[in-house]
Parts: sequence; C-alpha cells; structure tokens
Amino acid sequence: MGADLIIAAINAGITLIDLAMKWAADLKQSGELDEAGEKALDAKIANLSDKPWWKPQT
Amino acid sequence: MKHKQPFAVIALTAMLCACAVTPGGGDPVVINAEKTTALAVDTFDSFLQYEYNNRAALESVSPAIHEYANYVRANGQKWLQTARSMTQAYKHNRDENNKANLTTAISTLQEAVNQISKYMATGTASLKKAKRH
Repeated sequence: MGADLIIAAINAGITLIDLAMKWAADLKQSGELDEAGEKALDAKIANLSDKPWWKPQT
Repeated sequence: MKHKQPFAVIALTAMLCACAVTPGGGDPVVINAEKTTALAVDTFDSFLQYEYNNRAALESVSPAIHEYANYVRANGQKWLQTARSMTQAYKHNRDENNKANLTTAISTLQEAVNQISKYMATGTASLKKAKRH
C-alpha cells in the first residue's frame, strides 16, 4: 500500500474536524427545533440512503 | 498539531451535546435529543463516506472498521428515524414513558457515535503506524 494512499486516508479523517467545529458552534443555539428545523432534519435523514456510501458494501 | 485527532473531537462534541445547557429556555430533554440526532446524522454520514472513499487503506489496517461501517449502513437510518419518532412522541406528550423511550433511542445514537470514535481512533492510529513502516 502506497504512502500516498495512507496519507490521503489520514487527511480525509481530518475533515471530520469540520463536523466537530460546526457542532461546537451550534452549542450556542438553544431551544427546541421549530417546524422548519424539524422538517430539515427529517429530510436529511430520509435522504441518507440515496448516497452511494450508504449502500451496503461487500 | 500536525495530525489532528478527529475521533477525539467527535467524542468531545458528543459529550458536549449530551450535556448541553439551555440558557434560552426549552426542554433540555428535547434539545439534547435533537442535537444528538443531528450530530449522529453528520457523524454517520461522514464516517461512511470516509470509509467508502478510503476502504483499501482502512481495510488493510483494520477490517473491523469496514464491518462496523456496514453495520451502520444497515441500521443507522433506522436508528435515526426511531430517535425522531420518539422525539416527536415526547414533544406531543411529555410523560415519563415517552421520555424513557426517547432516552433509549438517543442512547443508541450516542453509543454508535462513541463506537465510530473508537474505530476512527483505531484506524487512524493504524494508518499512521503503517505510514511509518
């Protein structure tokens, strides 16, 4: 396995930090989701299975 | 820090979300449930995309990551939908039974996020080790 492949994998993992930062920012938000927020979250969940990386992999 | 630790950050944010305070009001049970659900959506999605895009490298150092990714692929959406259903039920009727059901559903999501953090730790550490050799 090439070093480039390993480095790419490590770097790809680092992108998950963006997720954490986003959530750290969201902690400032308080209150329950409004109707629009709930619909957006439900739609996001419903659309997950359309993504190729959510399909079963052998 | 040259190589950041995504798994540690995810675990930290998961804990922060679980302990979120509600300075602006609202039911902390609902707020934590909604935040945890949204966090889990992004964590599951990012983890599966990461595993999908780097499968060869990850599978060579930790086949268990692929196995857990497929477990999330098979169940993750159902866990999220259950959490949403339980959140809705609790919002409509905030009794102890609905609260218990919601707590269980959210615990499932938190456990999955924690597992992903562990697999990310294993995978990243193994990749770094393989890179050194």
